[in-house]
Amino acid sequence: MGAVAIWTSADQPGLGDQLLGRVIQQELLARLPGWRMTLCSPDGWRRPAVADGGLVAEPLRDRSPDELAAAATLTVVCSDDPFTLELATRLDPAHPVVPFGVREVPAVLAARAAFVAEADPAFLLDHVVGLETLPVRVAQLRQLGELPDGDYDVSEFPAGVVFEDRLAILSGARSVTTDDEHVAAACAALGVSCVGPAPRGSVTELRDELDRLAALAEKTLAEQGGDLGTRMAVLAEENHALRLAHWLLRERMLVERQRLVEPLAETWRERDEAVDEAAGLRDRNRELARQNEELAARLAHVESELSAWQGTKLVRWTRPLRDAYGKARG
Amino acid sequence: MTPRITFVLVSYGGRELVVRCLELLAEHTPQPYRVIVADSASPDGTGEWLEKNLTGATVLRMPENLGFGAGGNLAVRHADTELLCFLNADIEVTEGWLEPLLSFLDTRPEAAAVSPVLLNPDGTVQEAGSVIGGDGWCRAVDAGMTAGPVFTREVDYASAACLVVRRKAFLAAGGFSPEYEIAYFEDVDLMLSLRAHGWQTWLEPASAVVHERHGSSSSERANELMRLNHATFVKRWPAELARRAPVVGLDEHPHRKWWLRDQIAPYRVLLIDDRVPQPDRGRGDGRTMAVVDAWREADPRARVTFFAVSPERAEQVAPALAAKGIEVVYGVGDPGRWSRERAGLYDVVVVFRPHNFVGYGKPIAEAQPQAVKVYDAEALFHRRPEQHFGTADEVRDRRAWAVQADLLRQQEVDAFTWADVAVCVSEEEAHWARRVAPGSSVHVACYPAHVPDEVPGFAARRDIVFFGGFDATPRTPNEFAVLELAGEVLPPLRERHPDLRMRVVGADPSPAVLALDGPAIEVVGKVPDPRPLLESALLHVVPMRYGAGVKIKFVDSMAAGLPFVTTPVGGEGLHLGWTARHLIGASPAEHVELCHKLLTDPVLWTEVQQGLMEICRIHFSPAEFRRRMRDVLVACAVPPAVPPPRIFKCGSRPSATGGPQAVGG
Repeated sequence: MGAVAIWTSADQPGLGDQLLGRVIQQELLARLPGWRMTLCSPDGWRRPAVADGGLVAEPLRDRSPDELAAAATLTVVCSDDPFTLELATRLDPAHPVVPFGVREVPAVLAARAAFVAEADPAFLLDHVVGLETLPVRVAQLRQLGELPDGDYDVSEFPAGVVFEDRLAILSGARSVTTDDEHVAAACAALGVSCVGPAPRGSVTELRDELDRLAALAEKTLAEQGGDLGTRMAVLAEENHALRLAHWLLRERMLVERQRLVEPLAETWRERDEAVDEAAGLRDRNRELARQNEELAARLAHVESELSAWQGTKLVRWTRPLRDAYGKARG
Repeated sequence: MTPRITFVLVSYGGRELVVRCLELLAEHTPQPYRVIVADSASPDGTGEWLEKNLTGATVLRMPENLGFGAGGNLAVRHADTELLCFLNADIEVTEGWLEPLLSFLDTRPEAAAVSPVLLNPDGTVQEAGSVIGGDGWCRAVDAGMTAGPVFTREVDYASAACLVVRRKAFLAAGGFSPEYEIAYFEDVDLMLSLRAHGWQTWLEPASAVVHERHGSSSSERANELMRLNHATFVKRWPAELARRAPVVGLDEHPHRKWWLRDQIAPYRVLLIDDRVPQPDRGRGDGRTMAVVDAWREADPRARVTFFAVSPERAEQVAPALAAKGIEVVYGVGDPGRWSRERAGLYDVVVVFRPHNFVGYGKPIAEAQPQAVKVYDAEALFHRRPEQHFGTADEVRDRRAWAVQADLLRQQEVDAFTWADVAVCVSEEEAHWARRVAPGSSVHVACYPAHVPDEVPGFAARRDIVFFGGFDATPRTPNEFAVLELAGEVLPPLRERHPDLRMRVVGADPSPAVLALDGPAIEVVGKVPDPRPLLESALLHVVPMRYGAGVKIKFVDSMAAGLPFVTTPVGGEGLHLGWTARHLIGASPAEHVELCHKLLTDPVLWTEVQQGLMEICRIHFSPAEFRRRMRDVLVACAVPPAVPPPRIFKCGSRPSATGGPQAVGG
């Protein structure tokens, strides 16, 4: 599989130093799945800095031009560092080199470059930083007293600020004044008002150049004997397996659904039967209640008639006679 | 050497604890590191004292008590290393604690954070990762148990009491949210933020630290902060929490515990076999291990649970599986009840061997109606008693073998019919399975053997070898075979080759096998790695009369470039092609002739050796096994793993492991 070396100045603290390599890496990975991407800088991990945000780059100074050319199918240079630019001119002439977003490409390098990509990668910064995290970072910086409450303008960054914080500071600013074109491009991407140099290129141009870069990488790999056909076959096989697994998963979900719904359907049937039975019992109950009321009414009527009869003079006056008769009978 | 890691402590009082923590850190951390202490305006002067007296550390003093999250964020803004480690002052690190965590991150570029096991001072587990419930509360599901069964895994949440994090991941996730009050839940929030940004958090039990739990707030204040921050947490992650079962009531509904623990896994598979695989002991364990490994390697995030019916040597063998990220369960008396405690958890249930299907697979699967059921035949067990039936002389014996064969055949028919997906080791056995269970999707996956580019040739070898386990019991197929070899093949062979000696290699030789030891036969027994012995012998001779499936010993033999002589039963499923006529004999006399020919004809021997190695490369290579197992997984509706993007350094930087450094996810 192919490999791309991305030469950056990530051991420097500038926003462009940190951002460009990350964007190019992310965009190329999306276009060249499975390729190896190596971020490099002059001192790399030997010179860690707060600004690098934990990025671990390979030191360029450790390796000869021949080693560097041999380690990659293609080299992208997105650094204005003179050492890096000069080193790129010393790579094997057959090894393709593409300066990307470099402010001033030296003539020697431009002459041996496969092509020069000019659009500023910072336009696509939202592919390397979650924009939703930036307001959170602004809140953190305010909490720590490093940003004022309310509106603020930016004209310079405090030293030793991690690049995500730089973007957060830009994103929350009312306006930005800068002489750094990468900062201007970042402001454009963030939709923040900016006074400064116009960023080079546009999002469309940047995408076209990244497409061209990816196509060059594939072409170079094919010319070097890399077997793209095999890779395609592997991808096709993987794709087939994924589709089959997906189909079987859908099938499985249907089976699961049936297994869950069957007992549920049975329960629903039982519930409907129980509801019907309950309705019948309620009707029967109502009928019995009605009959009960009728009987109660009749009873009340009979009891009232009895009581009335017992209250007549005939019954009251004959009572002593009937009692005496009862005693006499023994 | 440039430090790779910065330890971040946030203090609020308790300077003695901070000092003690840093002393232990210095004592047990040989790797270079930096320390940043952010003091959250300690009212007792801790910040001032630390600033004056702490050497070799950066002390940052906050003007007011903003709490753990803000202190952590402040400290990280001053860190310049690749990795961070959040450390509570009441953590006591132990010898060798950091190296496994660094190694883990070096081999898992997709992991943002890794946590050791937090132990109580009495050695029990305090936290080995926690689950986050739908009610927003967390629970350390392994709390109170011993650390033995804890296995490497991705976790829902790991406490920032001791947590190693990639700085780039911490920053990408936005760090600790400022929405929280002084303490509690900011690290839970961080875990969900990391996951939302495509990162993972893991537990590495090879590392353990002691957590004393000295809180710096009163319990009343702590409860108040917890309530406040819990409300904030619930408000921030409604969609995430809506998918989860609540933590409150977990003890009354034990299945929810496993659902919560394993819900982040892309799939959950349960494999059931006789015992925790001991590949060095034969009995099909090598293949079981290969199958378990294939499930494990298909996706490191998947939950792979191995259920061992017998606890045999489990305590010795299980830790190796746990280190691979495999949960090992053994010593279960009631499999049905065990499964009901994990009701509805597994996506796939795999059962090996018919007796396990009957005793464990069926009762376990009852509480897993959603699972794809897989029967892995390993061999057709009914064939062995059928073979004995064919060779037994006594009518009573023949009847007993017939009854046993019938019983096993019925069990196997039931198992294949029960299964949605079945696996056999050879096309011949798969053909039988497809016939008896036309509704099952039957696959073939045998065994992987790596064939080296070069193996010793004829001139560098001598003598013959018998390789196979004996289970320390009489009348096993291997015992029958070695006794026939020693009694009927070796003596006439030694008449033609007087110097010929035989080695018997294999675990747990039975008394009858041990009795063979003598001038011509050396009973070696179990060896840690049989390959050197296989690569030094001229012939592997196993006249086996009984057996089913592919005999793994012959696959190992092929991979070692060692020609073998065996019976038609022994040669089944090996794709021997033209080599069969030089290797397969039905009688002891034929075996003697075949052995003599191979021992005396170096050209033929070499042709057979090369032929066998080519067969092994084609049919039994690790790549072929992976391909076959991928088809099994796909048949179980498990998508094949897609490797994560490869963002690697070239690898010149020295690391904890000395291996290449992964720097992205």
